[in-house]
Amino acid sequence: MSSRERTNRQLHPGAWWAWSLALGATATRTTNPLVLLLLMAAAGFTVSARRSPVGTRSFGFFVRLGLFVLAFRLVFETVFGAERSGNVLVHLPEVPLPTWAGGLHLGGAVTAQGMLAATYGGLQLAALLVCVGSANALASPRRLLRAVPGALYEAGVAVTVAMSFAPQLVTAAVRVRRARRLRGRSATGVRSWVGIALPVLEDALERSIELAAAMDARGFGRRGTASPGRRRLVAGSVVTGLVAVAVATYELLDATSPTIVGLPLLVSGTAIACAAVFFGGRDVARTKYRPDQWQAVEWLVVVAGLAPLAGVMLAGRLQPGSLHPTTYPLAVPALPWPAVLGIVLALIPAWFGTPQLPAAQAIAVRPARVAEPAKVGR
Amino acid sequence: MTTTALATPAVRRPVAIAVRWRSTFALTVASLFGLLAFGWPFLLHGTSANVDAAHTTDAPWIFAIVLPLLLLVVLAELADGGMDAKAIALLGVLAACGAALRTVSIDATGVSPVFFLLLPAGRVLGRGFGFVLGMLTLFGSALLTGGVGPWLPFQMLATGWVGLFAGCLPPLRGRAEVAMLAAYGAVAGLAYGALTNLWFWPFETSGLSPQISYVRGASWLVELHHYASFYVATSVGWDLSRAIGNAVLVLLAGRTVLLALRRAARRAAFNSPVTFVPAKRVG
Amino acid sequence: MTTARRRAGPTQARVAAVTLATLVIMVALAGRAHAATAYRYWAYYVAQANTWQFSQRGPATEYPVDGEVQGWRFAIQTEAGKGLAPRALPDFAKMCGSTPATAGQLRVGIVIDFGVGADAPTGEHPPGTEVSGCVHVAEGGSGADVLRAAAAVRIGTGADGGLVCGIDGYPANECATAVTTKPTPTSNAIPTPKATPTTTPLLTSPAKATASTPNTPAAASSSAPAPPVAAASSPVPTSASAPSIARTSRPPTLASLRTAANRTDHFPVGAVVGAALVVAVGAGASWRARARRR
Repeated sequence: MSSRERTNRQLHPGAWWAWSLALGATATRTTNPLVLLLLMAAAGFTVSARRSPVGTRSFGFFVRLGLFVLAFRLVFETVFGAERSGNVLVHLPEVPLPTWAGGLHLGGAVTAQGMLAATYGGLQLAALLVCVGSANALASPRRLLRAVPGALYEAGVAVTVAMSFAPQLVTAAVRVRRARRLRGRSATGVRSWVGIALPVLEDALERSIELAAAMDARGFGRRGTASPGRRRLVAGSVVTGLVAVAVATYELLDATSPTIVGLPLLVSGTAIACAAVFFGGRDVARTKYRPDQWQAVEWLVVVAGLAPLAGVMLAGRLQPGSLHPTTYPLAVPALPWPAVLGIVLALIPAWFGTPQLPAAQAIAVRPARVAEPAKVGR
Repeated sequence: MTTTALATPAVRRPVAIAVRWRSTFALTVASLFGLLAFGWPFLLHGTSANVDAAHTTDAPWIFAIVLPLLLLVVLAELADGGMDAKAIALLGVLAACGAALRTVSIDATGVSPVFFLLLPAGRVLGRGFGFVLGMLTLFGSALLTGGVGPWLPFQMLATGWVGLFAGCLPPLRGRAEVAMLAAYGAVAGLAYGALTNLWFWPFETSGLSPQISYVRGASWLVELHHYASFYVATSVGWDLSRAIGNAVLVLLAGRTVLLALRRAARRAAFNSPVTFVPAKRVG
Repeated sequence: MTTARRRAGPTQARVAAVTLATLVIMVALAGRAHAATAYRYWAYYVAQANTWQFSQRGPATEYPVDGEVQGWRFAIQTEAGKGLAPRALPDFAKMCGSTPATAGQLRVGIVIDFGVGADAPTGEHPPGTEVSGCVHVAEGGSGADVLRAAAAVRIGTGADGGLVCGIDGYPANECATAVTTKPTPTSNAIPTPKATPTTTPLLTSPAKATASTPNTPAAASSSAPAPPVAAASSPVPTSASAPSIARTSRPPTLASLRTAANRTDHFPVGAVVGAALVVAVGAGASWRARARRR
């Protein structure tokens, strides 16, 4: 890749999503607080270096959500306490519950072991959330929408319409509210809420009919010219795949059957159905304006994202127990070196892709990239 | 045949998205799999009691990967020939309304007016439309708020079910219809909460007090008891307020929304034009 | 923009290829564990009418009564519920006969069976064959309390949350690992049970600590051709010959188990390095975020 390419191009959103989800997958495989904190720090570092100009607030939202989950678990451990023996921190008054609660008791001893176990578990969920949040921040999911396969074209258009129409709804609501107020009616309370929502809805429905007429007039909905034989093949493959999924579901449910059969059947059935729908479907040629490119850098990002996952797998082999440090007895968690090495490798993409954009430039980039497919909705 | 159907207002139920046998099959399989994906803590206990370790730790992974793919297949099947420009426009606009309603309501009360629009829409425009609208509403609101995560397919499926069953309610009219929708809204609100909580229950509570958490390898009755305790302890208040909120909103505005949707559906004339029969007769 | 229409199709194909590849990798990783048919873990038993019954509840929700006997057995279990039970008979009178009943306290007999060498994780040996004794727990105490009163317990976190992973540091690290069983019935065979009178008395097991001996007699006895059918159908050990007389490895006593938790501490280099890394990367992140804002 040339340096020009590295600096002038936003990376493919799929690459960032793969990177982030691989990091999230790593988080689900360990409860080691060092690894989890390092994962979160790596995600945060990459986001702070490389976040896309769109959707920057969502990372903060996910971080707050993660903190909430952590706090939730700590509160739960305090109130319902799983670990009542160990180094007691506080003695809370105990509340006996009736027998239908199945031996559940409130309060009692709060132990260091219990709180630490809850912290580890909470950190794991928080790390997963932070990784997903980094995906949302690094590449807006709206950009992913542009990569939908042809079979999902209609659904994609509907979502695009929704995306571009939602802001108009807000302005419509504000307009109706102002009109109500000018007529001397109240603009607060449930009744007024209904009074505002209904005109907005009527307006929206009216627009949808107009929009449909406009789409029809421009020849929207042209079907592909797949031959009947090919269509039959696709239909047959989809049905076959779905039958496989149904049988696999039954296999998984049936306790007596070996699950060895169920899982590959499930995977292959899903793969067949998806492949048939996405690749064999209608072959309508649709052009794309400035398509996202997938080049060597994108592959590098994906590989870097998979490195921590591989590291955790390796650590599970080489240092068993380091991935799930024990809290009973209390012990200092060991550091799984392969996992740490993998996370360090995952930091490399922080230097790929677009440089940091000043705010004004970021706004200038936005309409071209995101709002373009929304033209359908206007 | 089509002309008579068009002429008389006897067709009370326009079908915005035709559900053909292939889409029905795909929908059924995906729903069955979705049930497994939601209910695996109760369903996947198997014979190996205490240490179903690999199975139950990997199960969520498999579901989280396979379920969205199956939902995409269902969407593609429903769209294949069953979705015209009018359906898409109506879907987009209603999904935007629903998404806007959802972003408005993210607060502590738990009252979420998403269903307020979804129930009448599923009722008026058919079960296929209700299902797709439910899924796209959730997807759209996740895109708007930047909240796309592994929970999204599960929420989409649950909301899709709410819309789907709203399209399957018995044919009543007038006040009875609104009352039925309100009751259904209340039930759906509760069921939706219980289902979507079920998705994260095993992760959220793993390692917490065993009486409220998923215990690997326990029998389904035990798991159900634990889940019920968890549900009562954490979320029944929110879900009740959501259920009541749904019912009240539908009772207040359901009639008007139904009328507005029916008028839009009549103007869109979903059942008529695809066959081109009148054009041939004229020509 | 010259690349306006370039390669729309191939891009899609690539995205699809990546998605599919990720899917395959994920499922391959997930499915790997499924290929295994057995798990190596501490199985939990409760005695009923002098036979071992696999406990349907976990130790945290199993509440013993006075006079009960509970058992733990470390083994590769092919099918829980029909698995390998502790080899000693659950004889309450033998274990707790000499212990007087106290008000507000339950007397519970416990058998901890470390299993055979063939079932041990790589590089580890069972610290003994088995130990049994009598413990006091407060009324309302659970099976977990019984076990804690008897031995040093290691409990899992995360996905293994709440599971009893190790007893007296055995196994050292792993927790209910899936193992691929070999076709040979080595691990399935019930080792010839020992005569209970010689082994069950509390704190009076023969002593000789030779952890370095890789070939414990228990392992040797397990490789004896015992019918695998018996392993599946009857978890009840039948009182038979007593090969335990010649035992060289010493079963730890309950008292020694209780003190065994204190392992030698060394300076946690890994933890310190890890914490330093976390701080460094986190500081870098906040520095870059602040630099952007300026």
